[in-house]
Amino acid sequence: MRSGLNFTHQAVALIMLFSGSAYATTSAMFDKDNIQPEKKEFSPYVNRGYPTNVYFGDTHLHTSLSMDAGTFGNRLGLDDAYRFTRGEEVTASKGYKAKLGRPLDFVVIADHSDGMGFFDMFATGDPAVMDQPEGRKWNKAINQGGQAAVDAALEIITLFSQNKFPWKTNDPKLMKPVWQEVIAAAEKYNDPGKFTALIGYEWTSLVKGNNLHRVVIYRDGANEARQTLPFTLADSADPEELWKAMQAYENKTGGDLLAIPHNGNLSNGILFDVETLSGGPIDKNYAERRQHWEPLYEATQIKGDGEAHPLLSPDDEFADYETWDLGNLDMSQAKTDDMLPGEYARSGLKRGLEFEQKLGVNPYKFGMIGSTDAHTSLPAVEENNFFGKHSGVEPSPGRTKHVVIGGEKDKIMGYDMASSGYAAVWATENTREALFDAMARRETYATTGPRMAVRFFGGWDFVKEDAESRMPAEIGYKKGVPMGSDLSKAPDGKSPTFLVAALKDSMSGNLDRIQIIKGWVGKDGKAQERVYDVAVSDDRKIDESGRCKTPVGNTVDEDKATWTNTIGDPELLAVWTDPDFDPGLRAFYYARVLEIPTPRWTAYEAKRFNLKLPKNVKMTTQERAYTSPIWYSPNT
Amino acid sequence: MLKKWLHEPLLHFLLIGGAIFLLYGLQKHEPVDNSGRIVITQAEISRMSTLWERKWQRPPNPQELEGLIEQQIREEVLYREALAMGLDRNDTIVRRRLAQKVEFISQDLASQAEPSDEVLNEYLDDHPEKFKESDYISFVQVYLNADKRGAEAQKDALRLLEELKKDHSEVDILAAGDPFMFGQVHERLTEHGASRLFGKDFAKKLFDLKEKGWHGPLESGYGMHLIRIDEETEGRLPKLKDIRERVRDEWLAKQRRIMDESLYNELRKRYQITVELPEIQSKEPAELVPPLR
Repeated sequence: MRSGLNFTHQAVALIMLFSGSAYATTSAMFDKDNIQPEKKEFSPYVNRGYPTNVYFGDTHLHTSLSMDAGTFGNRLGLDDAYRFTRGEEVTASKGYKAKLGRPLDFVVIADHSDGMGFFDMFATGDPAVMDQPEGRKWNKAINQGGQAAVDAALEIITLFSQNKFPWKTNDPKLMKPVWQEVIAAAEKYNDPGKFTALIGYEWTSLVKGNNLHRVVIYRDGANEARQTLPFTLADSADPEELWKAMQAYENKTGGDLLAIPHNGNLSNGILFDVETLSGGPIDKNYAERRQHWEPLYEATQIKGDGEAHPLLSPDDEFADYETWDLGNLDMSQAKTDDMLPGEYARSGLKRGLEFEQKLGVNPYKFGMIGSTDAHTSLPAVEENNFFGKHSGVEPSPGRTKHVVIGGEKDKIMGYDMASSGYAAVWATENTREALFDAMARRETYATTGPRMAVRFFGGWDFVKEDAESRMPAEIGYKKGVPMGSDLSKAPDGKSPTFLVAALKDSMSGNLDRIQIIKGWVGKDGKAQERVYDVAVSDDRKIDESGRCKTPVGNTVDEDKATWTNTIGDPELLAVWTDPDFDPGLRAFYYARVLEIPTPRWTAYEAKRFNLKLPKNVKMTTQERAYTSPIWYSPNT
Repeated sequence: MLKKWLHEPLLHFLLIGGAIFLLYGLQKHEPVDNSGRIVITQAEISRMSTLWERKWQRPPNPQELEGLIEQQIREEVLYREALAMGLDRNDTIVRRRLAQKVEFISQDLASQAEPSDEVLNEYLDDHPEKFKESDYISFVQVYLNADKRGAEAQKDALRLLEELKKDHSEVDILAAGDPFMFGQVHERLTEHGASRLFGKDFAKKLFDLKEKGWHGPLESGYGMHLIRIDEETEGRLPKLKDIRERVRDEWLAKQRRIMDESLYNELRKRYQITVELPEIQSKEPAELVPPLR
């Protein structure tokens, strides 16, 4: 995977961009000297090398090729998944017609590498699996449907998770044809400039029920991807082994990969751990490798929002959002408070600073994206169009009451699912290379579903007037660095300044506020955090402590599942200077954008199916976006 | 001229019709064997093995071969029983599948004809709407933040529009109205591209505008926009060489449809068809039930 800022060597004449031609510069940084806002060119948009478009997509979608998706009832394969994602209408596995409100710009179909395609083979009676009695038994049961199929599904999952599965889930003979199919479908639907299909898969690492999954994404096409097979849990559960395999692929093919972890909230503390999985200390070498291979974190998805936790951030009134904190992925172990710091993005970033202080390298230096992890082949997470985590909880009157993950004591119910999220990527064009490169340099942000446009720049010289500019991005790239980048060695007497701008999703709620969240390592070596409001709507005031205590209000009618945009602002911009800056202390800053309250998917559900949901079920949501951080270090 | 005639569906049909009759004549017409004897011949076994080997890169082992033979026997037994029960005549699904099979035969024959560039070019010219690229518009927009301006927004918009429309307007467009994060100048946006930025409704209204010059105010989820259309370009029709495979696929699909229709029409002519409609008893007009889709 490429490190640092790296742009493709293509001069591309683009028809789709709203700003005419965009030439990618060949140098590692944008050619700042070429930006001349004072020139009397009518179109001020010529000769720019920086990204002018934000693309929205899902980097984590499952089809019936994933064994668990199939067992839960998904009957939609690669074709339906791609067609739905690019905007066409399909029929969901349980019968409802489905269509996105708006097409997505890109997708990574990331089916589990272990057992990829197995379920389809059971269902069709493929000779490859009919050689074992279980294969024949499951083939019969699945085709019988009803309870028999459900029992077969449960048996498949149980045997797999107990390591008693009758086949090797990484058997190349069985995986190879499926992997070729996956690659072929990606090539078929990849339409550079219009819709990007990136090749990928999910490595399903599970350690005693604790989730350490990573989605692996290819920059490359068929020629490179087909040369090796995906890495599996059967190969190893240790991320260090995954990185070795990724390096081997790059050595063999000259290609590029990156890995994105998710669901720290189901890892019971070990995703952003203080030691390696094999129990050794996190050393400089580990930190370098983790930072290199994992430039992003999927901070929000259907299985809960992972930005912050109310216990870790007691002063953050927005921290308790779609929180799943009962246990790990299979509920085999309950959650205890001491696990939390290893689970959330904000605490992970803070731990990263602490390690950087000790080792000189930050192992947890990640940008942020959202995705769905939908197992229905449908990345449908608009609040009024939510198709659920898997086909057992596709829309139906009873789905809110289904247990999604259950133990005897603690259960996660259907209504706990979050209708979240998408990945937003600032790229020069909608192609595999440009999107991958943007992810590698972390110029991305997470959204919980709505497609607000968010810009975040850090530098030493932003001034208030920059926030009133007609072209904030131009000033941002000229005077500073974008989200995902670094600042270092503060010039004498200066504090970092940040230019942030957010434009609402035209189909969603207005904006409530933009915040900047700062994390830093104190002189005692311990990381701290603080939330600042930097732009608030409706002319409310931010007090001297940097907070606006006036809530934006609430226009949601929960019974009708409606709201009005009579509060909030459609656009917010601000320049903010860190009032508590110490140039000797390393820090990170990221922006969080909040919408006004709007109906949650459960409100639409209750209205559609005429349901009365338990009182503890939230019917309102405040959608949000989290940008990748900008890091500051006292030395380079 | 001859080439065109060679692609005439009727000619194809005559050839197919002839082929079908020929094949039919060549079939060995064994009446359904009621003796209870089923023979799996060496030729059939060898065929099964070959098919297996092609797929699995090895001959079937004795158990697998036994399985294949058993499968064949099973199929034959059930087939004969089905015929004896008259299932082929009364079962809806069987009837449907048999009808489809005839169509498949005709389609297979149709797809033998590999179209030339000339044929495809003609098809491309005759159906531009299938292959045309999207139209696009280059425009400048002045944005008015309705949220900030409140009740005055509409008035402000109209007043500004008047100023902009003037022949020697002194309005600095890039400084007019309110700041908008996506900027004011948009070059060569398709409807899809416009809907990504401004929303579907706005994009549709934008593409409904026909003339160059100032229009508005158009509303979006963000507020009001005054639009100056600078260029409207119709999406071009790509050259055959750039999209040959797509055109070929569409052409073949069309040929199949034509085949199906002409074959069916010819076959239908052989039958005398009587439809016994029930007499309408009630005096009230029958309610029109919309067809199930």
